[in-house]
Amino acid sequence: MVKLKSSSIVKSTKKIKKAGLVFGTALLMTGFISCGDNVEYTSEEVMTPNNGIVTEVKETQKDLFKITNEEVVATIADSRIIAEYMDGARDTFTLEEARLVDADNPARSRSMNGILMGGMMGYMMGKSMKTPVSRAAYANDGAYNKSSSTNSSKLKSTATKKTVKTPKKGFGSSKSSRSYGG
Amino acid sequence: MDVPDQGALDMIQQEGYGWFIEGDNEEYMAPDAIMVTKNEVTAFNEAAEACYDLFKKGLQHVADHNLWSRLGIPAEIIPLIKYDILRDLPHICGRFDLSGGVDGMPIKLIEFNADTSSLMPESAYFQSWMHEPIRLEYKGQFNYLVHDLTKGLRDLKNQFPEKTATLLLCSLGYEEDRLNLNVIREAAEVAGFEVDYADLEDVVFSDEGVFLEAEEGYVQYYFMYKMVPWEFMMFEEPELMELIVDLSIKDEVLVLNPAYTIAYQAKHMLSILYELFPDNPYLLPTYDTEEPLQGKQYVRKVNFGRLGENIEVVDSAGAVISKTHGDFGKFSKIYQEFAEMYADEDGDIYQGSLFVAKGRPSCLCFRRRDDLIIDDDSEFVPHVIF
Repeated sequence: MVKLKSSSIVKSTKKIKKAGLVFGTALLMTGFISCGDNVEYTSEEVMTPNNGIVTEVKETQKDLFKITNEEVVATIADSRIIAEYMDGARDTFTLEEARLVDADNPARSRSMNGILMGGMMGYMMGKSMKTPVSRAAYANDGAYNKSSSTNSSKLKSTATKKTVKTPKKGFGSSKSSRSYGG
Repeated sequence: MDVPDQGALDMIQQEGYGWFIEGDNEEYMAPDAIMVTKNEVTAFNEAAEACYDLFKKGLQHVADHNLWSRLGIPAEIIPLIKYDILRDLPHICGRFDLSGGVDGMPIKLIEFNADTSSLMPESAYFQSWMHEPIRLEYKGQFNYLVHDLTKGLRDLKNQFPEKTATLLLCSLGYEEDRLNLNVIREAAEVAGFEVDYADLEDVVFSDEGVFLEAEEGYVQYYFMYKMVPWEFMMFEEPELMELIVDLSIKDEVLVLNPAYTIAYQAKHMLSILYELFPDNPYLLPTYDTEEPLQGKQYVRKVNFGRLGENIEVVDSAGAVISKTHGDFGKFSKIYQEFAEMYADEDGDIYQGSLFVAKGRPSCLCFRRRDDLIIDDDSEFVPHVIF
């Protein structure tokens, strides 16, 4: 091998052609997929119920329902809503049917769904198991107390628990004083 | 004193790479070039191809015999290593450091910078800019790095067509590392990726993937190329390691270079390769203990050392004749027979390096030093083929 000293380099006036390089800075491009609120900073242990709930509701005023009783049952598929209307009629719905019921009576449907969501059936519909049941959903203290204590404990004890990691940043901070190349 | 071609220095400055030629680095770019023959270049290529094949076999051997702990690789990352092997995640870029190769000296493998290889702007750009004035007179350079990286990244995009081609480049923030990533950026943009850069500390890792915060919310990246070594995550940020393993296995993000490159990077792989292939012409006798090399000149290196740090050269009488300090002294050591390097008439020694893109030889470069150990204080020397 011969070392070619610069004195022997032929100077050239030929312009060196080179595609422009992009100098790397932390520029964010807006054309990317924005994930909006997908990243949340409140992460914690998440519980998913395995048992189901049978909720009994009673129409106490026209189109206004209250929960009169709730029971924990073996599976989510066993969940039922038993409605007693002011005229004395009774209906039993599965979770799926409850969403469709009274489609021609939106006021009644809204009321019933709101009440179900406030009670333990809400946990079957996606409500966080850390959110307690609402007193306002229940017809009386007895029904509320039973659901908020005994039944809730029972449902939680059999729930699947999963820790969702808090989105994190700040890894490797204060490490910029040397190269990590090789 | 000779200075590099002013046009090339201006070009380096204009393109945003002034860091490499300023301050402490003022003399980094050698004022001269090295001339190598076509046959020497061919021999370097053959060496790189053969060595890459050895590493692939070595990796398979480690996986088959569960030798991860010998490589100093903790259990937490092994599922991802196996996953990356299984799905054939491509090794985008690595660099072999080699001794010899010129003036009839045999080529020997010094080590494989498989994970976060540096020297990318110098090799891909600077040496071609410095070489430009004499290009017409000689036969060019072995330098296809940007082209081969582009092809590798385009293949990657086609291999995972279901993933949105957004690539996050990421380093710990040191200027040299950021500038190295510019080469990946150029290749990735040509390959059709949308590319952004962020320091690691600004990257958000959630259960759903890898994000950057932006005014309009969070921007998700489905590919990530890091100048953050796997071993940094393993030993300095184990929580990050766990997150990345989890996200990768859930296919939320694809992290490059692949996790298996940590096995190539680990210096104990060199002793495993020597055990497996003791007659291979490119491998130096390398051991996990010092005894077999007593009476010979050898080099002590640490398993996860970088940039020539924490290296000691020991002579045949057992005396340390050259050493470098560094940040990696805590790692276990390997012992490698000393390799003669080419020395010029001034007594400076040369180390060749060959980049591999997807395991294929891609670009040759040289560094030079007036000491026995090529480290961060070496000069970068462009080459020309004659």
